[in-house]
Amino acid sequence: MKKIEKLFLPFIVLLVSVTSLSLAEVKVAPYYSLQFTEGAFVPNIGEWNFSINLLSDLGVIVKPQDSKHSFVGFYELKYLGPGLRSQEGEKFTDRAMDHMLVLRHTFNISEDYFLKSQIDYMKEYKRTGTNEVWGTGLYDLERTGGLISFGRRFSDILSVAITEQYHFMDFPNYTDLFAEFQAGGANLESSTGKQNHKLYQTGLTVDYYANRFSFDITSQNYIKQKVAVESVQPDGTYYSSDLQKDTILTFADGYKQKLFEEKVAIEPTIAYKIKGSNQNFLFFKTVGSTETPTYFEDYYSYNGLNFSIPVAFMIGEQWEVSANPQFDIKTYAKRPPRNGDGDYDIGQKQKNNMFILSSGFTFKPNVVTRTTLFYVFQVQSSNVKFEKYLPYNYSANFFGIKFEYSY
Amino acid sequence: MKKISKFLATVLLIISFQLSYLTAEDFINTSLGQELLNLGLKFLDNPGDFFFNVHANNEDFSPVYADKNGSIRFNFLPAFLPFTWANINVKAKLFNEQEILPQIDLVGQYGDMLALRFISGDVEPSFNDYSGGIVFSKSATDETKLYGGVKYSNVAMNVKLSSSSVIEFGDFRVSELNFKVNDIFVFTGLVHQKDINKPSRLSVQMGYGFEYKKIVSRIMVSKKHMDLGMDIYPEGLFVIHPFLSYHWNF
Repeated sequence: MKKIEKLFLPFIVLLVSVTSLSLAEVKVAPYYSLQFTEGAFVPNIGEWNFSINLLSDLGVIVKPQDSKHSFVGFYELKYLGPGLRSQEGEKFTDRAMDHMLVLRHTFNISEDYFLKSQIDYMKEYKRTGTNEVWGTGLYDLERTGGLISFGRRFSDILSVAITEQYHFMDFPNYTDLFAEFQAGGANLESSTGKQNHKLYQTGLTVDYYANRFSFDITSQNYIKQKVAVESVQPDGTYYSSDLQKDTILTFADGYKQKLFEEKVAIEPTIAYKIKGSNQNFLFFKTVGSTETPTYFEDYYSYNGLNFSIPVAFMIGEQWEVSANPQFDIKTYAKRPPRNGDGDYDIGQKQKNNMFILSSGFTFKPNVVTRTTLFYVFQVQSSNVKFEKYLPYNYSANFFGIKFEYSY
Repeated sequence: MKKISKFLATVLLIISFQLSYLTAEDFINTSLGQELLNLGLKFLDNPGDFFFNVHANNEDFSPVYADKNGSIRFNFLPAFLPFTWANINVKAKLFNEQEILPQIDLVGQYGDMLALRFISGDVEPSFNDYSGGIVFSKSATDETKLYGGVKYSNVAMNVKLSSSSVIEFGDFRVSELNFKVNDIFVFTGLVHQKDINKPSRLSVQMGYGFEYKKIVSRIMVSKKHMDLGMDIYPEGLFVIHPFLSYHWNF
């Protein structure tokens, strides 16, 4: 059995065993959540299609009586069907399936100090359409790791937490197809595992009144992927001896507020991201090209700004109307855009702008069930005009129904 | 009410009038026709998956009621109707929940498609449908019970149609349905029963099959003798399968 299959059975045994402790001197609270979304998306390029998303969580919260310790364990199964995408490099037909196991321990050292620790594992399957078999995706991913967080409450209005996390990202199916082609099958092993990397993240969170400010430094250290260079090296490749390393700095601030006797909830959020990468890019016109490739330095570094204003209006106890305009602006440091013929416009920088307007009408017949009729308008514009493989300039409508059950 | 009847009668009249001028080729070229064509092609691409989903509608792996010893269940829709798929699901409680021990139930399901017995052909039609599994459940609160378990699920069919019965679908011809789908599933769920004295409860369940990496999710309301719910298959021919079943708890 594979790793994920081995993990399932112990998890169920653990779940039932932990729940069994409910009769001992332990407080146990179950948690179950099911979200199901079905809709249709209609882009102005390509074909319209149905979209289905499913999210299911099952967990338990365990707290021994009169103890400062509490434990949370949960399993999450997520299916993301075809639909609109907000990440660059993804197609409308992509599908993904995630399995995630999380075990978390919280130690309330005193009234003002806490220590949290967590270990987690995630397996993600990806495929670009129904003609691919699950488990064979190039970007299938296994993430293993954990985090430690230490926090202090200074007063009723100010608390601070610092978090350190480590994850190992393993892409078991990933291979450098171009390198394979160049090697002619002679050394395929050296082309695999190039996407694998270690991820370190240090984060600082400050809660002050209704604000939450956060600052994260994420470092992605690739364990095999070398940095591309302009000229052929002594070993006959275009790779130096340096390994790829990416660093991402993220600043974010959210302001959560309830107004008009809690009938209106608003949470404007702004986030600024700076990604730096030492990786460069070599552009070969065709796979078998013998011409000297075009070299682009600092191809993957970019700055991104995200801004959103989710607003929800409560209409009585059972109804809710919500809207969330979201802006996303991404500018590459040096990457030039490609024109309609696929050639690079040297001297310009690639820019992607996205606007998403989500709206919904929610019915809450009881405290555990929510049903939402939603409509999403999404538009992306970019100075990249080469859209043979990925959409860069489009507008799309997405509407459907979302059902949520959580206990 | 009379207005509605008149309106519906008018709509039906217009549709039937339009249909008399609509050829099969015209219909295929409409958006509805294209959708039906896509559905048909998707079915032909993997008929086993569709029948497996209907087979899963016939299963019930929720725990036996705490004050009962077992149950027998028969799924009307969408199994017996419209597929003549007779089925029975039997649950038997092995152990009651005690202190730290969970309740343990054994579950078995068997089905047979009656219509296949009347199909004539060169090869005798065969149909094989069964499941078996074990369910562990434990009360988390007075109203809520968590459960989980493992099951083996199987459905297989081999039908060769006679030349006069061959199904033509555009350029495709279907002369045989031959598949075998079996998988081991792990499932977890929650049962919410407000009043222990009333046999009315809500079950929410998710399952995952290792072989085909198949996700199945279920929401089911159970009354004294009826189950009403829906199974969700994110990648199925039909994503939502509403079902209606009869059960007898003993």
